Amino acid sequence: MADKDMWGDFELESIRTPVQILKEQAAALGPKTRNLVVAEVRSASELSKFYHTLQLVVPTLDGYRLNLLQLSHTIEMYPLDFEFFGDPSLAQKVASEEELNAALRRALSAPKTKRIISGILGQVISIAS
Amino acid sequence: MLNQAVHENDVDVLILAECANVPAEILTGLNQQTTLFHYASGICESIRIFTSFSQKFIRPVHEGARFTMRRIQLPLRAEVLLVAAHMPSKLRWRDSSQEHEVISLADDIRAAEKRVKHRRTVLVGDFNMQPFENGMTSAKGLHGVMSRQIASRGTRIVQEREYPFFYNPMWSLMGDLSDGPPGSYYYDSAQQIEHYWWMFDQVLIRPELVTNSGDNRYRLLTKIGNKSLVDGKGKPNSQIGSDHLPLYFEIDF
Repeated sequence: MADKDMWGDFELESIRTPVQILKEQAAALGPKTRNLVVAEVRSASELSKFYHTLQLVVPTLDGYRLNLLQLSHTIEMYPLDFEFFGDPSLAQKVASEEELNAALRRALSAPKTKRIISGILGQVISIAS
Repeated sequence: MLNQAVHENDVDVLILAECANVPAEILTGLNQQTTLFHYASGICESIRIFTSFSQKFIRPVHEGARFTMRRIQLPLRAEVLLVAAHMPSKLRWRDSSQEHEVISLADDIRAAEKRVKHRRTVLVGDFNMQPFENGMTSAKGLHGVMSRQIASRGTRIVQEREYPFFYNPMWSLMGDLSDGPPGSYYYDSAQQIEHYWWMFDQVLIRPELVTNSGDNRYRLLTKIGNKSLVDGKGKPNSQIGSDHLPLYFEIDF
């Protein structure tokens, strides 16, 4: 057995991870729709990769769920694969937190996203009335 | 009015039985001023649950047409099993059938408690039975007792089988000597036996969740804002609210 610690030193302060950024954006949707449409992040890992999927959830439509976008990365986090299911042309490799913020902004405020959420709200309201 | 009731009483979990409005309509009303409430969806259509916390913290364990069992798992708090039920009415079911039905519910609760591995259970609902009826009190039924002290024994053995107690505080809210109305529902008929006031709407708590901090934590609401929910004779006024009075309770966990 080695008589000396051979490990290096680690940064213990918390780092902002991609999933954390995604969860912050998920939490911001409910208040804009009176919680009729909310967003949740589902995470999974497989073969040393992490997958974080942002889902639109509609509790009043029997918990209807729709995958909106997905981040996938290794333990090193960046570069990560960014995939927007509403518009495959927005798929890209993201190299940093700044690039991730920009990609999320493009996808979450995209006309396609607005159409999806408006469509869901229309469905919810027409069932309610 | 529902919106006002919820906000003036600082409600965290709103449970509605036999509600004609669809969940989206109720949710829109509850979130008119601030987006606080979430709809905790489930497959039981006779019970609707709205919470001041995300539905990811309240997940179904077991559901039927007339009941829903949910795990409430809030950060930094002990998990609670919430059971909400709406049992069949005396207008269509005989007392003995109601009793058997509630025994089935009690069996399901005990099975769910085994599955979640705890008995921090709150049972609430419109049972369409009085707290003293057999199904509500029998060991194999809900085993609800009027005394915290007795409930604190935890379980009771009958014929070599062990049954957990529920504490049923609704006993203390019955009749004229309670602070509120004599019951949650009023019915008058020309029969030999008529109770007039019925405590159909009840909350029962396992001893694991019972605290000694006073009984005003359970009450029937008779007023929302400046609107009375009862008529001049003190009976529930269904023209204003419902033919049942809403039940408010607080649980520490």
